[in-house]
Amino acid sequence: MNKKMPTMECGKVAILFTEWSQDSVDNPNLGVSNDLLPICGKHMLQRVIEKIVDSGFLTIHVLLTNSSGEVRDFLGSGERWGCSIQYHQNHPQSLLREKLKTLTLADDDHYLVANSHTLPILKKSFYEPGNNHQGKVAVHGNEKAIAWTGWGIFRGDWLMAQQTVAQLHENAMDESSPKARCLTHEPYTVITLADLVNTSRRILNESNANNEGNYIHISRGSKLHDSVQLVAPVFIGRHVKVSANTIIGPNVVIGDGAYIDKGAHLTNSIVMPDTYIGEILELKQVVVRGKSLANIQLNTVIEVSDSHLLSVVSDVLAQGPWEYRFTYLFDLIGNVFRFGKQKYGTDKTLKSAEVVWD
Amino acid sequence: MKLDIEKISERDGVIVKVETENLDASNVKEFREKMQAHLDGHGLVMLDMKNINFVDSSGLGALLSALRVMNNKEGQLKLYGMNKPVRALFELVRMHRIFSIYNSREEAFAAL
Repeated sequence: MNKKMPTMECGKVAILFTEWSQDSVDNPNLGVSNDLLPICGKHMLQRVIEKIVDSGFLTIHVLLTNSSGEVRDFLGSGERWGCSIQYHQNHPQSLLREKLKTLTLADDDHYLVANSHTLPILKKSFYEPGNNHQGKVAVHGNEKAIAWTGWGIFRGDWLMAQQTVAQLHENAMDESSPKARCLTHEPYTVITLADLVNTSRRILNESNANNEGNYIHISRGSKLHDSVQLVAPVFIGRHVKVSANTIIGPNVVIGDGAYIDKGAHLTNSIVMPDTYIGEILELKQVVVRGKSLANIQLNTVIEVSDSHLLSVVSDVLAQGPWEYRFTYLFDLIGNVFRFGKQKYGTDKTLKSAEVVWD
Repeated sequence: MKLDIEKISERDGVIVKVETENLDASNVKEFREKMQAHLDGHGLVMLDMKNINFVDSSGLGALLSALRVMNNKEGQLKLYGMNKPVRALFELVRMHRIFSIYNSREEAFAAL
């Protein structure tokens, strides 16, 4: 039995796996890990960190794989969330056990294991070790099929006995060493891009329900032409420009700094920050990031070479027609000197929706 | 770029199999030139797109031109065998609503 090692950590300790799932041919991506793609202003990694800290785990060990740079840049030392974050490289080839050794886990202490692709909806009591010394796992599903969410509270000695991540998965639900199973509603998850679209729709629909079906959120600095039609629920990030005769919604999220050109029609889609959507394009069940488009129904990602169709906004400004550059620059200058709400259009355009400003 | 031509015996038509991976700015002129005779000479043209992995806006423009030629003389242009990336591009620019697109040659024939 290992002695409890004195550490500099304070409070409860969590172990966070990033890139829990591996990319594959059947699971295309947009060039960045899905947990770093923003939904309604926040990506899943942020939502997960906030949940871990809210639940009282102020020391977080983050196990990194491929997107280590982006994750570290975003999370930093954890000071932003009032916690302490330490990073550990988790190469797929190395044994999990070797990684966990560096965390100096005490045998009889309990640790939260979480992953950045899935966020279960759990009561506060889940995060207390309670009387079940074997630990507990958050599961979802029904009598026919139950699956582990990747979140659980485990003893240190049990964690140290797991050789690999796959073994951790298998043994978390092992009947011979039963852990208390806490059933959650369907968790928020971004393992695949289809999951990302579904999670985005759920978050929007929850806001929509709270706003009597009229949720349209337009963030600071965004400008919408008078003729834009918005069909709730819709979330528009900051400094977004939406041109004439565009239809946005339902179930659309547009990230900060995006530019939607004339006549485009967006439904059940996510536009990532700084993305240009060309004239008259139809986006239906897609996720777009710069020149990359993921069609969820076809489960395919394409790179669009024509900048007038899809692009990064800065490319459009650099290469696009002079009218775009001047219009955009004037808007940017205007935004610097204008504070608070932006004029967005008439009530008729919004179909009497309650618009939420931030 | 090679176009494999197969006559459709029971109709005034041809199946054109495009033997190229890309239909883009580099070969679209050649595509137009080679297609023109078949568009002018038949009331039904079925385009087999199985080999095409990439289409850009020039390629889309060439296909639209072909469609216009057929529509003007009340003929038919049917596309089939598109792979997912090409299909995704067609949906993005709404051309899936303009063209008759089928998953397979059999489906295209069944729709005649």
